[in-house]
Amino acid sequence: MEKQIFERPTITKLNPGVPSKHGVGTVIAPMPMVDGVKVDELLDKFGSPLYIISESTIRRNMDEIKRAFTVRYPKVQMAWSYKTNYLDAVCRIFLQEGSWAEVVSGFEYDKAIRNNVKGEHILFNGPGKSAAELEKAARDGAYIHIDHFDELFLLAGICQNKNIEARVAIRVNMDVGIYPKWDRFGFNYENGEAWDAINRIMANPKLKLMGLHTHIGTYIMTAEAYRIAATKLAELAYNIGNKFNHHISYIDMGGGFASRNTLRGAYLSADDTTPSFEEYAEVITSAIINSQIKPDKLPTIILETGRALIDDAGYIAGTVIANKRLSDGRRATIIDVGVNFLFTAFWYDHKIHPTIQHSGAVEETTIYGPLCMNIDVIRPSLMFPPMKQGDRLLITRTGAYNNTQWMQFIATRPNIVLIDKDRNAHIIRKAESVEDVANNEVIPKHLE
Amino acid sequence: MNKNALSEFSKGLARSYSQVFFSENYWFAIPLIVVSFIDFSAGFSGLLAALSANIAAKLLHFDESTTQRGLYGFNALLVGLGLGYFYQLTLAIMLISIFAGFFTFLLTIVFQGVLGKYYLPYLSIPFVLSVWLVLSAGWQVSDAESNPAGLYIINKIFGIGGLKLVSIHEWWINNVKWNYLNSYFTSLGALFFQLNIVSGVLVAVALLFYSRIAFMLSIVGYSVAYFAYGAIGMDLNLLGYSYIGFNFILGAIAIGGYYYIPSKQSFFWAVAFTPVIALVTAGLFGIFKQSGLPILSLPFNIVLLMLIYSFRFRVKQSDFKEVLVQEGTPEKNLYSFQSFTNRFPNYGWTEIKLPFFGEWFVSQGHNGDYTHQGEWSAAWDFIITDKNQNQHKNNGDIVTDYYCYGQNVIAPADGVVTTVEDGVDDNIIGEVNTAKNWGNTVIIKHTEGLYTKLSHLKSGSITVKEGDNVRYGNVIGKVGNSGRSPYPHLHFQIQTTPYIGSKTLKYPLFAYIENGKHIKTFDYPEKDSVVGSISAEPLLKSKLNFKPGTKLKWSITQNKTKRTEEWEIHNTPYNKLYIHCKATKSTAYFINDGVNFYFTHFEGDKNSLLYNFYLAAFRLPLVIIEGNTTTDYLPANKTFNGWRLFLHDFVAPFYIYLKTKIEVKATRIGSEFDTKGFEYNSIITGYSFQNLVFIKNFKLTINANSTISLVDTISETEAICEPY
Repeated sequence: MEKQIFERPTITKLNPGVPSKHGVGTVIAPMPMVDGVKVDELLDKFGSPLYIISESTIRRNMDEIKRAFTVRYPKVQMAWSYKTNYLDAVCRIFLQEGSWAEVVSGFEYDKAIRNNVKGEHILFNGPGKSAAELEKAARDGAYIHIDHFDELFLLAGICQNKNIEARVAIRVNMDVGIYPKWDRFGFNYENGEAWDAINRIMANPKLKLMGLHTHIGTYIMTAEAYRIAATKLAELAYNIGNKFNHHISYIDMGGGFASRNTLRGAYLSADDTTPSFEEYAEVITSAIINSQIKPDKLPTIILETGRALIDDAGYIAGTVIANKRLSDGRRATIIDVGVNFLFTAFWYDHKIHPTIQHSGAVEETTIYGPLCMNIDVIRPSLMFPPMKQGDRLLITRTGAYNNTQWMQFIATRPNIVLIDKDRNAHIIRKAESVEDVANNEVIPKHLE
Repeated sequence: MNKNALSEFSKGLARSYSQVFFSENYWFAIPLIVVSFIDFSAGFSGLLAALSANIAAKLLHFDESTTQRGLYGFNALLVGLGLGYFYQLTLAIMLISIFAGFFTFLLTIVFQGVLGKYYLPYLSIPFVLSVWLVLSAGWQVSDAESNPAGLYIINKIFGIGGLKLVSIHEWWINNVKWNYLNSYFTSLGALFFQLNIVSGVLVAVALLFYSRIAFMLSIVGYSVAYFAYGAIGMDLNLLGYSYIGFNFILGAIAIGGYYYIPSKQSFFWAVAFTPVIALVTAGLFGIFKQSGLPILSLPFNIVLLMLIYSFRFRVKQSDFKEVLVQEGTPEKNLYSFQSFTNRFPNYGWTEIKLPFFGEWFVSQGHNGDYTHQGEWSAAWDFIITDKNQNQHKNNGDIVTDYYCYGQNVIAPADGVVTTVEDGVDDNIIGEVNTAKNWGNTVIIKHTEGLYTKLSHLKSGSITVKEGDNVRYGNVIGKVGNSGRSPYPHLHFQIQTTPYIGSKTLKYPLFAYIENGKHIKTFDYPEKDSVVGSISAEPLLKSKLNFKPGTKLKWSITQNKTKRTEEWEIHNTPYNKLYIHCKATKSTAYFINDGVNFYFTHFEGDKNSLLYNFYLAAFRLPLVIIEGNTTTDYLPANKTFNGWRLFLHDFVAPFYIYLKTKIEVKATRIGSEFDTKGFEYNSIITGYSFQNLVFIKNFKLTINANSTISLVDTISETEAICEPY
C-alpha cells in the first residue's frame, strides 16, 4: 500500500441541514498533468515557476471557432491578436491554422513579418502608428485600420508624397448597449464621424477602402452586443455600396469574446455565464446575412479573437514557498508566482489546482506571490486544500496577456514550454538571465 | 443575287450531293458531282432537279440553314439522276427533271413534317416515291427514249479522263476479275446511277477522304451482305446491277457511324442489321416484281427508320447511343461525343447542392452500413466533426453536445415545399423512434419527378410550410434528433415522389469541395469524407461570363510583328454561347456553369488566336484552391491533324490512342481582398499511346481591369485583349 501523504489538519465549519445557496462546498480537484504530461516532471526539468502552453488546446479552440462561424457564413477569416500572446511559437500555430495577424504597433508588425505572415495578411490596428510604420504597411499591402482623422491625414500625405496606394479600413465605435462604451478608438457611428471618414477616403484615389472594423470592448459577456455592432456595420457597408458603388471586402468584428476565466467580483462562475462561440457566431452571422447586403456582395467576416482562443491553453505551474497565518486567523500561502508573471490576477479569479491528490478538506486561504509588494495577491480568498512548503500547484487559464503584459520586476522571467500533440515539451522561450536584462544598460564613464 | 447569297446557294447545291452520304462537306461534293457526270444525261438532269429544289427552297423562303445543309436538295438530285439514267436527255426530260425536282422538294417537306414529329429523318423516301411516279409517268411522254449510255461507257470515261483513264479502265476490266471488289465499286457508283467501276472507285476514294469510319462501314456493310448472299447461294450480281448493293452500304454507314455514335456496338449493329436489310430487300423484290418498279433505297429506308424509332424505346441505354447533335461526319460525332460525355456526363441535370453551409462529415453514404440499404440506399447522413473526428463535445450524452445539432439546414436547390412533418420530439441519445421513422421532415420539389428530403430535423425548427417557394440557401429548419436517429444528424436523400418514406433516387450533387482540396461536380459525397459548399471567385465569375454582343479586340505580338483579331460573342437559337472570329471563320462554344469555364467545341482555323484561346481556356476553374491542378482531355480531332489523325480515325471507334491532356494551375495576382487578377498556366500535351507528340504552354491572365492576356510561351506570342 502506498504511503499516505501527511496533510496538516484544518478546521471547517460544519453545515448541517440543506445546502446553502453556495452549494455543498468546494471541491478542488488535483491537476497532475497538462495534456498528458506530468506537471511535476516539467517543473523538475524546467524549473519553477514555469509557463506551460498546450498546442492542442489552441488548435482545438481554433477548430471550434472556425466551425461555429463557417457553418453559418460562407467567408470567415481569423486574425491572431498579437497583443494577446506574441510568442513566436504561438503565433506560428495560429498561422498554421490559417490565421492572419492583427497587430497594434510597429513592434508587433515586425514580429508578424518575422513569423512569415505576408503583408497582405496583416491588419494594422491601434491609435499610435508612426509615419514610417504607416508607409511600410502601405507598401506591404497590409490593411491599415485608421483610428482618427490625424492618422487619416498623415497616411493620405504619405501616399501623396511617395506616390503609393494604401489599403485601409476605418475603426468604427458605436453604442451597442453595453457599458463601458468604448468611444476612444475609431470614428463614431452615431454622430456621423464614420461617414465623414468614409467620404474622405472614398474621395482619395490613393486610399482603397477595404473594410470596416469595430472592437466593441473586451470580455463582452453578452452576445447581443455583437448583433447590434454587426447590424450597424452591415448597414454602413450597404450604404457605402449604394453611395459609391463600392463593395467593401470585409467586416472586422474585432475581438472581445469572453474566456472562461471568472472575473474578479463576479457572482457566478464564468463557466456558466460566458457565451459559447456558437452564440457569438449566431448573432454576428445572422445580423450580416439578414442585412440588406446582396448575397453575392457579402463581405468576409474577420475575427480578431485573442483571449477566448488562448486563455485556457496557458498554465503557470508554481511551488509553495511558505504558509502563514494572518492576523485575522486566515491562512495565507505564498507561492513563487507573482503578479509580475501573472498580470491577469488583477482581473480574474484564476482557478488553481494542486498537482497531487489531497484529502478533500479545504479552508479559506489567501494566495500571495513572492514579491515584496502589497499588491502581489494571486487570489485574495479561496477555499483551498492545505499545502505544504514545496508542494506544486497549477494556475489555469493564463494564456492571454500574461506573456505580453508581464513585468520584469525584481526577478527574471522563467521558461515557457509548449506541449505538442505528441506530449513533447519544447522550450519556446528560455528563462532570462541577469545579462538578458542588464545587457542593454549603459554605464556612463564616470560611474565605471 | 449578291455574292454572299450566291455562295450560300452554291453550298446548298453542293451539299445536296454530299448528303447522299449524309455529309455536309462541300469539298466531298466535288468528286461526287464529277462522278454524276460520267453519264452526262443522268448528271445533267440530276443537276437540274437539284437546282430546281434549291431554288424553290430559296425563293419560297424555307429555312435557310436546312437549305444550305443540302437537306432539301438531295432527294431531288437523286430523282433527276434516275430520270437522266432511265431516259435519254431530251428537252422534255430536262423539263420533267425540273418539275420532278420541285415535286420531290415538296414531297421532302411533307415527309420532314410527318416523320419530324417522331424525330425521325426522312432519308430518301421522297426520292423513292418520286422516282416511281416519274418512271410510271415516263411512258406517256412522247419523245422519251431509254438511255443507252450504259452501252457507251468508254466514251464517257474518255470524256472525263482521256486515254489514260480509258486504259486504266481497260486494264481493270481485263485484270480485276474479283467479283467482290467490282461489285462493291458498282454498288457505290449505282448510288449516283453510274453503273461502272470508275465511278465506284472515285466515290470510294472520295468517301475515304471524307470519312475513314464511313469508308470502313461501307466495306463492312457491303461485305457482310456479299458473303451472306453467297452463303445462301443467291445471285451476287443482283447486288450490283439492280441497285440494291448500296442499301447495305448506306445502311451500315447510317447505323454504324451517322445516326449512332461510332463504337464497337454501332459496328455490331451495322453488321447485325445487314441481314435484316437483305430480308426486307428480298421481300420487297417479291412485292414489286409485278409492278416493275425498282426498289432502289427503299429497304434501307424502312429498316433504318424502324431501327431508330424502335431503339428509342429501350428502357436502358446501352453503349449504342444515338447522335444528338449532328456534326456532319462520323469522326466529328465520335470525338465530340467522347469528349462531351466524358466531360459533361450530367449536362443539363438539375443542380442540387449540399443542404448546409460550411464543412460537414459524411457519416453514412450510399449503400451504408446502417440504414441506407435496399430501396433507401442512395442517401447521405451528415454530421459535423472536430479535428479529432469527434462529433460532440463533452461526453455526448445530450443532443446539444453534438456539433451539428441546431445548425441551419438549407434548401439544396430552388423549388417548392411539398411536404412538411413537424412535432416529433428529439430522441434521447442512443434511442430511436421507429414509429416516426423519418422524424421531422421537409420535402422539396425541384422539377417533375425530382424531390429532395431532409429528415430528423429539430422539432419546431422548420421555417417553411407546404407550398412555399424556396431558393437555394433559404433556411428551412435546423438539425435535430427526431425519428430513427440515435444521435443528431441530417439525413438527405433525393427521390422521385413527394412522400415521406419513398425510395431513394441515385442522383449526383452539383458542386462541392471534398476534404478541402478537390472540387467535385455532379458527384456523390463518399462516406468519411468532409464536404463543403463552394463559391466561385466573383471576379472570375463576372469576367469569364461573356455576354452576347460583347466584342473582344485582341492585339497580337509575335516576332515583333503586330496584328489584331476581333471576336464577337453570339448565341444560338438553343441558347448555346459561342465566340466567333469573322476574319478566321472560327467558332468556339463555351459554358460557364459557375464552377468552371469550359470550351465545348471549336470549328475553324487552327492558326487563329481563337484556337489558342480554346486550348488555353479549355477548362478553367472559377473556384481557386492554391496549388491545385485541374486536368481535362481535349478531343483528338481538335488537337491532332494530318496522317496521325487519318490513321487514328480507323481505330477510333474501338480504341482512342491519341490523347491530349490539359493541366491548368491557377494563381491569384494580388491578395484575397484586392485581387488584381488570376493567372492560369495551361500545359497541353499530346500523346500517341505513351509517346509525347507535342506540347503547348499558355499563360492566360484574367485581370480585374477587364483585360485578358494570352501568352503562348513556346512560340512567344503575346495577345492582349482590350477591356470589354
